[in-house]
Amino acid sequence: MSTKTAAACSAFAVFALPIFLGIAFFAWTFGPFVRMSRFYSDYVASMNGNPEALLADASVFSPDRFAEGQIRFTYVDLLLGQYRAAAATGPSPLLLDAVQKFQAYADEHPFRYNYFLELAKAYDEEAELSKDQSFFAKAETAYKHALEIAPGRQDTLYAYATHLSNTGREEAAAALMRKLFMEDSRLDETSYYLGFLLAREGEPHYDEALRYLENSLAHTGNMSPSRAVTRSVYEVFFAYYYRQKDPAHLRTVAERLSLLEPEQEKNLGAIVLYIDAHHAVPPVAIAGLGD
Amino acid sequence: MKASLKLMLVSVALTPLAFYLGVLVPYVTPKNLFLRGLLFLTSLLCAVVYVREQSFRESFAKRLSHLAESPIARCLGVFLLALVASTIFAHVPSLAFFGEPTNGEGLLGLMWYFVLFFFAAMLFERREWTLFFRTTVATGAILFLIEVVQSLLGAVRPDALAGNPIYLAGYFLFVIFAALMLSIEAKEKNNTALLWLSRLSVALSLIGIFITKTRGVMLGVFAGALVALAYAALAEKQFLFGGRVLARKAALVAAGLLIVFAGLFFVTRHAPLWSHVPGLDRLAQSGAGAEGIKSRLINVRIALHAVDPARTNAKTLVLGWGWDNYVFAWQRFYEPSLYFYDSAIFDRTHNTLADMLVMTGLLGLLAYLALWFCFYREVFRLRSLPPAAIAAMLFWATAFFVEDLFIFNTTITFMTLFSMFAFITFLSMDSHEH
Repeated sequence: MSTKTAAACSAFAVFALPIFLGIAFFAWTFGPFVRMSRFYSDYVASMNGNPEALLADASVFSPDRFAEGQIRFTYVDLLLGQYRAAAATGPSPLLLDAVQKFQAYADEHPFRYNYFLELAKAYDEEAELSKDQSFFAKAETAYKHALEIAPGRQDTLYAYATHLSNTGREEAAAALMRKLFMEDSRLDETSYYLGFLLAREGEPHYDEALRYLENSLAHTGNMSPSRAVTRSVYEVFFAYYYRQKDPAHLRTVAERLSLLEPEQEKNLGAIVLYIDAHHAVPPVAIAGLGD
Repeated sequence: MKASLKLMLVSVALTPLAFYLGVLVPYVTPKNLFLRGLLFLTSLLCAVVYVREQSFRESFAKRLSHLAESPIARCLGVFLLALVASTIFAHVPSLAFFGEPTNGEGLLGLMWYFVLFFFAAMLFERREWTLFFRTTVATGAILFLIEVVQSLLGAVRPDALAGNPIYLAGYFLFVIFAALMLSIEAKEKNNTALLWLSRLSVALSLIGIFITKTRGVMLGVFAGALVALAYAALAEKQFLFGGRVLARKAALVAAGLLIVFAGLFFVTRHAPLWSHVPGLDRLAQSGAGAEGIKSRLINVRIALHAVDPARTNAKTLVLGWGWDNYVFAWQRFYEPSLYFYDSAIFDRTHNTLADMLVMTGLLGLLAYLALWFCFYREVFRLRSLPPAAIAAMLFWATAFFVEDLFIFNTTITFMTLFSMFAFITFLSMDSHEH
């Protein structure tokens, strides 16, 4: 490089760089940082009883740029977590707002399967909370899009099968999980969901459902989709096997329930001991279980 | 003013300490903000000094002409072009250009590391590099203390402020290198305190790596140490301690011991003894059957499928899917067997070479490999340096390259990578100038 060229290039670099870096810094580093930080503080304020903090702060969501995918995904994800943790009576304005904003973003950027999976789960949640069936239809669309983008992805299939079951298609749900189990029987989650969905099909499927659930829980102690759901399924099993006077299955269920319901551990332990000693179902059930 | 300019750039070495809990990704986004803010201010100050000082203008132009001839700078230029091309033809070009703000990459995010290279190569002299290494060692010491506290509080794999133990371990490699460079300086200046401090820093960083239990980096340390010792054994000049013959023998013995230890470890990896050694316990569980390894192998296979012209097209093979776009390739070529080993969503293959191939295509991968080739060649050409310094560079480069076969980079490791490119380029230009 000649001296003249070097001087010209260095002058260009020295003066062009601050302009370029300034734009890049403020538009694509400082901007997203401020919005992510603002979202976070608004969210904390919303959770502390001031939902308006997030609902009224348009600056976090408009324009539709600057880390919006991450922000809107997190917005929905955090709220869904809240709903799962606490029994809610209906969808809050925050959840409706979060889902609407995330849907708008996903429509513009329909690339990530997990965004559509999250949306679908949120719609399922809204449908459950509001008893409005139209949300199930939206969930269905989102699930299908997620599966189209990432075919065979198990977390989508688990949620989709649960959705099918929730919308009265128990057989299709169980068939989907059976197919998945045939493809890879090593996955404890598949085994869990298959058992869970078979249990929803009714009493004739309880033996098989229990087998799959135990196969999963014995390996992992896995309590998904939630400990409460697993517990309620096992309570139904307990009542059923008690009525059926089936000591072998009742023993299995009692052992598992003692892990899921530590407060009943003593009584359930007594039932297990009774079955071991008499090879029969005990004459008196536990209050709330088996009556 | 000039001193402030250089000090501003030296402060980049403090980046790993930046964090802010009030943001979505508290350990990555603030680091990007800090690093980029410093680089932006450096560019502003540089323009001011350039206008005010005639001597600076002359030296800047002279340095630039040398930089333009540097093989590393040229390779970086080609790599940047490959990045631009892969961005234009990306699966989702906007994502390839802007990147995920939480990762701070994409073309626009990676550009800052090229800027770091540019300013460090253009502005730093030996004095500033020494200061940069001292700051790095101090930063490493703070991170180590935080890591130990986290470990004592029960963290299984502490990450200090890095956000992930993998990133912390990768950064410690650079701290080791910086400390080794300081130890050479200390010996030259007969500064006993600095010598012991730098040795302590090397030891603590090694312990820090083991505490993070990062297998890829541990393998990197092993490979780096072997290469450095091999160089020491073959060095033409006086090396490290005492006379040449003794040093050669010592290096050979050390390399032999390292190989014997590695062999013993491999053979006895299932012995209960190793489960009590931090770091090695996790390494002992590894093998072809380990879940982490399996999931990485599946990801590499997905990456290869994603650039297979028979499955996609020739353009994808040459230019890739675009930076930050691996997640789309992963979705499309997803292998259900992966879920058994790891149910996470992968936006990187956890192998930098496979990442380069799938995100920037053959063009980007070849440019990246050429960069490393030039790096090693330049290191071997630095004959005026003490062999210990060459060995330290070889250690870092090999360790970094090997660890990159198992993990991916982030702000603090990219920062160390481009700083090293700048350092070797500086040394190369400096040796030509003198």
